[in-house]
Amino acid sequence: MKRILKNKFLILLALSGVLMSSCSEDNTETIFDQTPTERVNAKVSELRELLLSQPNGYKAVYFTKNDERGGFTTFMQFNADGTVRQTSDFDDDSALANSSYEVRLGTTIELVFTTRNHITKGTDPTAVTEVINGFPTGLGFFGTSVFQYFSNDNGTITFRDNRNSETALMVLTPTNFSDFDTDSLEAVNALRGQIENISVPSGVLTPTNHVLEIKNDNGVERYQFSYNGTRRFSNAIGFSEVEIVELSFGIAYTEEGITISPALEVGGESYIDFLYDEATNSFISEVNGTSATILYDSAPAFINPNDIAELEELGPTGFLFRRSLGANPLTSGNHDALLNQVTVGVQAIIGAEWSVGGYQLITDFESDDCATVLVLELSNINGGGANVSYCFDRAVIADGNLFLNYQGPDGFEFLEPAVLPLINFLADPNGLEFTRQGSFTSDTRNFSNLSGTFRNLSEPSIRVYGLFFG
Amino acid sequence: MKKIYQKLSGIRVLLVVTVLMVTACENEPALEASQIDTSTPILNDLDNWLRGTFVSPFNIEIKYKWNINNTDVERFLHPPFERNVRPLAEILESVWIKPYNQLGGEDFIKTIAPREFIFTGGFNFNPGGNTITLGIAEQGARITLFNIDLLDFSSILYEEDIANDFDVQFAVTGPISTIHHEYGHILNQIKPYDPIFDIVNPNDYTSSWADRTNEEARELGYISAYASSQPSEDFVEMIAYMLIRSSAKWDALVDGIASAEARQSIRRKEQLIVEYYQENFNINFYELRELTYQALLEI
Repeated sequence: MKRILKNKFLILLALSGVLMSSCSEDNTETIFDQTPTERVNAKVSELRELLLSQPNGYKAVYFTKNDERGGFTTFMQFNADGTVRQTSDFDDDSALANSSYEVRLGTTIELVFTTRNHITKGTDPTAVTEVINGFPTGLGFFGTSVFQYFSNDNGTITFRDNRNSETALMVLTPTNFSDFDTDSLEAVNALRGQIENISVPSGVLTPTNHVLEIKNDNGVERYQFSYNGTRRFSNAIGFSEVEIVELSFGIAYTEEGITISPALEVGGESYIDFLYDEATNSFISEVNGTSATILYDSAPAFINPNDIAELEELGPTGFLFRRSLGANPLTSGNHDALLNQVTVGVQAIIGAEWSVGGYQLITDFESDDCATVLVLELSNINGGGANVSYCFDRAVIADGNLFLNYQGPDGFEFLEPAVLPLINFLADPNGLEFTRQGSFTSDTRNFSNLSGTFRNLSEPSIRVYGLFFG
Repeated sequence: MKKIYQKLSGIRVLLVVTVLMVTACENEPALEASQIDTSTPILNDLDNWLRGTFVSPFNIEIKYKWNINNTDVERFLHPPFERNVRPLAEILESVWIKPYNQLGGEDFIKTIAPREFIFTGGFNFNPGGNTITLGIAEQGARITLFNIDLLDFSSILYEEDIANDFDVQFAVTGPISTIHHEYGHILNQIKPYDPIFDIVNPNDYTSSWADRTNEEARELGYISAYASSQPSEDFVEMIAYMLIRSSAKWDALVDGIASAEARQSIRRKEQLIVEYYQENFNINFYELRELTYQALLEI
């Protein structure tokens, strides 16, 4: 028993020795001057003071998730009583409103918009809805109300969102306004003015192809550009003989144009800020002697050489343009103006109760016996109608374009002078450019029929979109 | 004796070690005041009103200021407009707290209640596409209410009176029904209901309840489609349906069911609920209904 006691004593003695030496060997090197709590408190104070340092607030550009959505701008005026005054360009409602905010420790130091205001529109699921299983389901912009403080670069404050850590960014820059209420509302109006600039032009004589064009030492690259205004998100598709390239980015409006995220990286250059050029109705970004331009053009971004070959394969298949099938922006205003001109001419000859409802173009590549024919569809306001035909030689494809040679009318000679503008459009000596456009769609109808466009190469602003019914 | 000596020796050794341990770190600085900020946060008028109306008397906190951790972080939800918080909180007080306290005793809600309410502004869409989460009760401690910014506080709608049942969620009857429903769960957690309830008409409970209309469910003896999901939901759906309707409106709803067997099942379940309130909480359920319904009319 004594032995056991002795052993216990020795063990306890050794243990106490270890305890003492463990304390004496503490690494006392100081990495930080302050305790973690002091450092957290200092960062909280730093951000809080930074937000309050601008009496006329900040401009916040917030991209919520730049692989699916664009961004929006909120003007924010922070107050010491925990309130923040805001307006934004997110939607039509730009009325100034107050809400609450807090700066606190969360994942890291966070700016939290604790009650609803303009900035929380980024998390409103009803901002973007999709029908899922027959039910209109809210998706929104995938945003947040909780922003992690990331950096302060001479007063420009960057925040991130840890849910969308790679795709979200909110950057605050001082507004330098002299009066927050007046100047912020004015700025929002300017920002929302860009919405019209980037939307499809509504004028009847404007070009209809939305194009992203890159100019650099390698030449000109053209991308078919599309913009979804609800999601503020863009896709640009480029085509070459070897590959199809798709570029995607979100857009936010600026007073001078647009800013995009992620940056457009082409040919070793990075394009972010685009300036609006009113004269050309385009957005231009110039970097190191190169440029990226988003523009509307009479010509499509590119022509797939296989399209015209497919037209030949279709053979004597009817192409139909009919007003009652609805509108598609691929039909240019100048084409509608041309058809109106034909209607006026027809009415002058056979009476005001007649009008041109549309036309068919049947192309045959083998026969000259009026197998290639324009069939004009006339309708009478009192009911009924008439089809009037004009014959062409066999259709010819050359240099990637379609060439039609007019022969003459198949009856109804007296209407020919009125129809000539349309005949001349089709029988352009420089040819017709054809593009395949997939299944037919308009503002009122969708059909599985193949659709396409014909554009006059002598008058490139005249283009028609229609479907093949064969 | 020897044993005692040995024990004493052991104690002495331990004492020595303890002293050594205490003194070994004597160079550490003395404790100072806490560096954690414990000062009162900024409180606005609404915060002060909520503290005075809910926190102090009932130990219930109504949280309307956004904390992403209070809701599912995978969902894209947003805080409510500040202006919609007090109207809904006043409804909680009038249609829930006061009637229960009047009949169950002034400490009834203080004793049995969720400790937190979370108010959020918008709809909580479920990813599957055909359902929306209206409210969540968590462990009897917290009730979360969604879409409070979309409420028309002057509108009282009942699903049996309108073409689209979902429109109830834009009327005050939507969240009030949710509160009565979730509070029913909390009462059940304190006092379990009689298991006889589960076997009144057990055959048609289904997890595919969302494929049923409320009318179809009633013909099977369940007051709503969701009531037909499982007995515990059936029990609290019955409570919610009764507490937002007048006696006449409730009778008209039940009497309008074509199936006599279904009517009988619902009446039997009604009886069990009345007994549950009387036996466990000494509350006359029909008096409670009269109070909650009158409070609803006075909103």
